[in-house]
Amino acid sequence: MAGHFTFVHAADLHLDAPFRRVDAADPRVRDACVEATFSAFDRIVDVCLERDAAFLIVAGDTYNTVDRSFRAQSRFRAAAQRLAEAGIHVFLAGGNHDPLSGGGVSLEMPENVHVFSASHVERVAFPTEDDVACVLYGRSYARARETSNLALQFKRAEGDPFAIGVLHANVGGNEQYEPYAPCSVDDLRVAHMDYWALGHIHQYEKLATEPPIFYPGSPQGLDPNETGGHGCIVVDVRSSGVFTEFVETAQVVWDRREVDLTTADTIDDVLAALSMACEEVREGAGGRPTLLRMSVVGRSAAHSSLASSAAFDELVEEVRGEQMAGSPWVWLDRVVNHTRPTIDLQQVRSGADFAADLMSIVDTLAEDELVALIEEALGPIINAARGVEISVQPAQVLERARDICLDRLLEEGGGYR
Amino acid sequence: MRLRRVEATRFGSLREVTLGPLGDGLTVVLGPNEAGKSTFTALVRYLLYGFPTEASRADRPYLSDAGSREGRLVYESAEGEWVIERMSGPRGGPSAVRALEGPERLSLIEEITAGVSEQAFKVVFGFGLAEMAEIERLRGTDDDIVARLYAAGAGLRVSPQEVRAAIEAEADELYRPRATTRVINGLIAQTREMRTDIGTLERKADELAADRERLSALQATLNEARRVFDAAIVRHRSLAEEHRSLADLEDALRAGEEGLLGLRLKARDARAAFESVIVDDAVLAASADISHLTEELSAFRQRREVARELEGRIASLASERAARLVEASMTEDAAAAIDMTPETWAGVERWRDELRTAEQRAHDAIRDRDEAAEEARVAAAAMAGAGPGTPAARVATWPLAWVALVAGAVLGGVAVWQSQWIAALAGLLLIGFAAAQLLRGDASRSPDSDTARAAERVADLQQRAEKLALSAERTQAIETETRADWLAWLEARGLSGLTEPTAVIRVLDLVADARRLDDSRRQDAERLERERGDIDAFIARVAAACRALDLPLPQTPHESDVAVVRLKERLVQALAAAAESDSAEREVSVAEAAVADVEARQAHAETRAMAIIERLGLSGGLVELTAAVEQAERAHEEARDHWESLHGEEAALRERIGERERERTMGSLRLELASTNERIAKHAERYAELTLASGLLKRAQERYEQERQPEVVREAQRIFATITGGAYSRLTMPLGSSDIEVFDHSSRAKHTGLLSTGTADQLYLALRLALIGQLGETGAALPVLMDDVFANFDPARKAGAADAVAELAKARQVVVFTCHPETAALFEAAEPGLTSLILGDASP
Repeated sequence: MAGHFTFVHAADLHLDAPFRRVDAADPRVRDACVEATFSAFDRIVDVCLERDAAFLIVAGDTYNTVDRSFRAQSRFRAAAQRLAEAGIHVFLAGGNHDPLSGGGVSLEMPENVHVFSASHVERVAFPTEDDVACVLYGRSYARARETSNLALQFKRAEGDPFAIGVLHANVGGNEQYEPYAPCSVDDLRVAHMDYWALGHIHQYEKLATEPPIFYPGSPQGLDPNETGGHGCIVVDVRSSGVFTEFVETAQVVWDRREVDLTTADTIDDVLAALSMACEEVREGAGGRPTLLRMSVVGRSAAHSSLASSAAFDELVEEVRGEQMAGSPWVWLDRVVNHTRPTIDLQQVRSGADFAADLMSIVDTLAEDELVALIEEALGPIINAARGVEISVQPAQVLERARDICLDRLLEEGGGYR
Repeated sequence: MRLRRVEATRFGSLREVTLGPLGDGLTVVLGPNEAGKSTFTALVRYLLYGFPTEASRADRPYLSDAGSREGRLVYESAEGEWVIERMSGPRGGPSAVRALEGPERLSLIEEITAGVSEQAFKVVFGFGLAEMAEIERLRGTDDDIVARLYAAGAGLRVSPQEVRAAIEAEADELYRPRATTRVINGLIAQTREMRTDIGTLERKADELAADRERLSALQATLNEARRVFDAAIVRHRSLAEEHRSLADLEDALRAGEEGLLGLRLKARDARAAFESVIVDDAVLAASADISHLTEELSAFRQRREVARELEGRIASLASERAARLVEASMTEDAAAAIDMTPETWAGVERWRDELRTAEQRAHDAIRDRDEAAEEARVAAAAMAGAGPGTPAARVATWPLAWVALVAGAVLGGVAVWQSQWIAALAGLLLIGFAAAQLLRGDASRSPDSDTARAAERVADLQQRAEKLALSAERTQAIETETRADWLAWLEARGLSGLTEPTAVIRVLDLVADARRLDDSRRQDAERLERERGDIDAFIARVAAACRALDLPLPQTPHESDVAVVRLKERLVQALAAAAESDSAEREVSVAEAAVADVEARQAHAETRAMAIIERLGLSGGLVELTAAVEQAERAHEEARDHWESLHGEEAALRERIGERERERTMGSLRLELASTNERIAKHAERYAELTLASGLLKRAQERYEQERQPEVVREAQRIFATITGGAYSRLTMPLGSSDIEVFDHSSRAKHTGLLSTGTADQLYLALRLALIGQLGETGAALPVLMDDVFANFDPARKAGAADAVAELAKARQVVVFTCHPETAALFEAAEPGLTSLILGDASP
């Protein structure tokens, strides 16, 4: 085991990446989102300085686009310069978002930045060949769609005091991510590294303890699915072992909440329930602003009051304004109304009237036909709104459509409540 | 519940007119034209649904002369009686429900009209000839009365058609293909604009890339321009330096030639001056001796003076010594024989004291002897002449005795008190002495005793005088002996002839002075001898110096002094000549060295100038070099201008790149696009839900119409057949079409457009009756008001229609308005229990 040193393992910075699927109508939210990837990286730099790290590893996808925006490069260069002034090195591996074959003009980086080769697994002794504390093995992507098992190219040299593998890869075939540089944990183990610094998966994940194999996740969640902690890993290498600590760096937090309105009878009850949920989110956000997606559920007497999208939007807007006035702010990015009317559906089904006919049609509607109906409805919009990600759950749409009909057909006095 | 009365307070032409009481089933109201039949039909509708607004042009306003409208409906049931009132006002006019009997039913209007819209009422419940065809015309539209009444019949509070229309309207607000004002359409348009803006920014990014490439290329050009600029600077400076050097060299050469001439003349003059100077080498050779003699001349002169002073002083000392001896009356030998040791001085002093003591004692003894003799003589004389002792004698002893007594007492007391026993003893003795004196004094006071005592005293005094005389003799003898010893002592010390110590001391002092003066004289003589030796030596050295320079030899100190002065003058002259010679020699050296130096510099300058000319390859010398410098200066300025131009361009490019790199618009725009896309996705989902909901409703409607509507159609078909006396046996209402087809007894289909007016009216009446019959509880309290709808019926079909209406009136309240008595009669025939009312001035 090598002597004592500390390094920081990060990945998937996606600098200058736009937030996805967020309705940032408020300027404060917009500003925070635009700056978030940079702020999170600045926080990583702060962590390097605070922990007196010897070097920083970024295991791929430093930039979000192949051509690497100038703004991203400029900000990265400024951060690297801060690290250079503290004598901290930076080791980068290109990932599928920023392969080395990418076009665009590259800014000249400070001398403390080293980018691993895309042609082979590069071995770099740190700090020097003459005075080796550890050895880093890294490989960048040459092209975006790297489908070969790059892990098999890693092999530790004899005499290395401490070996670190740096790779952007999908280990174990995580289906939520592109299957780039696919490999298994066993493939990584045979390289006999002392630590594997991986990138590609945006959630923190510990794949193995012997040797330590980690995904640090992305430092900043960029879409509603990237909830939970986002940050980097501080790796402390001591004679007694390797100790890791996950450090949060996200400057804006994504969160989801489901609020049960079963007991909400009035709009005031609904407002109170939404506010309470927002406060819980605020308290758990660690002092950081939050982008919150919320769904309201339950068979509620207030359902009919919320059934109108205009009324519901108005209510959400009121809660949104209230929550943005708090500190830190909570932005109600989207609130989905999944409340149900207090209608006894079974009773409706058992009838022999129009509502029963409607329920019968809903219950017997074939999935293909449902999908076709939805596609027929959304087709023109999808065609017109190029690039908009419109994905709906057919069953949920059908349920909502049924409820819309029943809500309006069976207004007060309808006899099924 | 049944409508019992209709009261027109002010409505159209009606004033305070009441229609009623109406029957529970069929009521036939007979009235002539303009009696108010249509007015009452409209009034019922308006009182239930509100007066028409000015915008509602389809309905007659029925304004009264005063411009207002007001009326009442009185409803009655087993539970009570209620009145519905309404008068003109906004939004249909304010209405009120009051209970005339029974409980309050404030929502009575809503209860009555539930499930039946105003349009449905107008078409199906309260209709005249004008509305007969509406039931067909509105089919398939949003106001499809049939569909509405189906829904009402199905127990729904709202019509599926209305719900569907509302949902579709909501969906339509969200999106409509090719529209521009809908929510999603607007958002999509915004995204297009944003994409355009992003494209513009991306192009700017491309421009930024081009700028960076341009910057990169420019930097290379700039570096080359800088190199050229630097080279031009170096060349210019180098040539300028060479030019300055060459010009300086040429100037120096010219100046050197001019200076060299002067220097050479100066060197020649200096040498001539040097050679003209004559130096006395002999004097210079003796310069050390002469210098020494000169330096010592002052000392020599002082020695001579000292010698003279010593000679004088020696003579003076000898004279003074002789005088001392004369004064002491001593010869040289006698003086020399005197013991002048300190013991002699001390002995003289001692003898002087002894002699004085002896003399004093002898003197005192003689005096005491003489005084005692005198006292004895006086005492004898006194005793002989005066008797006893004198008071004076007593006075003399008395106080003393008392003083002694007191002193002894005090001393003794104090001593005893302080335990000083010796002092005490002394005090005691003193007291004793005093007491004795006192006692003696007292004893002498008596005259007898005084004489005795005086005699005694004379005797004592005489005795004492004798003793003192003896003592005086002894004392004189001692004095004599002492003086003899003194004289012997003097003689032993060579001082014979002297008797008094004072004289001895005086002699001793003089002899001592003489001896001291002699010592001084000897010392001065010795010193004089030394000084004379030095003087002689100096004279000898002067003589030697003079001899060396062939000068007259000095014989005396004075001549020596003069000789030294002369030697010094010779030496000064010689040294001046030597110094002049040295100076001239130095001037020669300097001048010649200057000449050599200038000559060397001239040679060096020539060499350097030649080297510059050869190095630059300038055949034209300085003139050509001047031209070359001017050319290099122009090249320098051109290179500088070029570099500064490129540098300015680079700075501007860097500034532009910096600004673009700091540009945040792209990030904001992308986020805004993401936000808009999110909004589109949200609204699209809602649109999908609404569209699907509409589709579901449509399907439900279709199913309902397919499965439920045939009963209505069959009932209408039955009624129609009844009215037409079997002329038409069947009718159909195809879905998705507003058409109604009827079939005659030979199954020939006829579109309603081909039917006669009367037959068509009969068909529409049959449809209404069938529909109302299917409504069940929906609109149960609504009366069916038929305003002379049988005008186009032939008598047979009118009778059939009366039968059909009478049949409906068994379940519903029906009011038939007619202006034809025969029609009223037909209804009476069909329903004998009907209620007949006369409206206006009508006669049966």
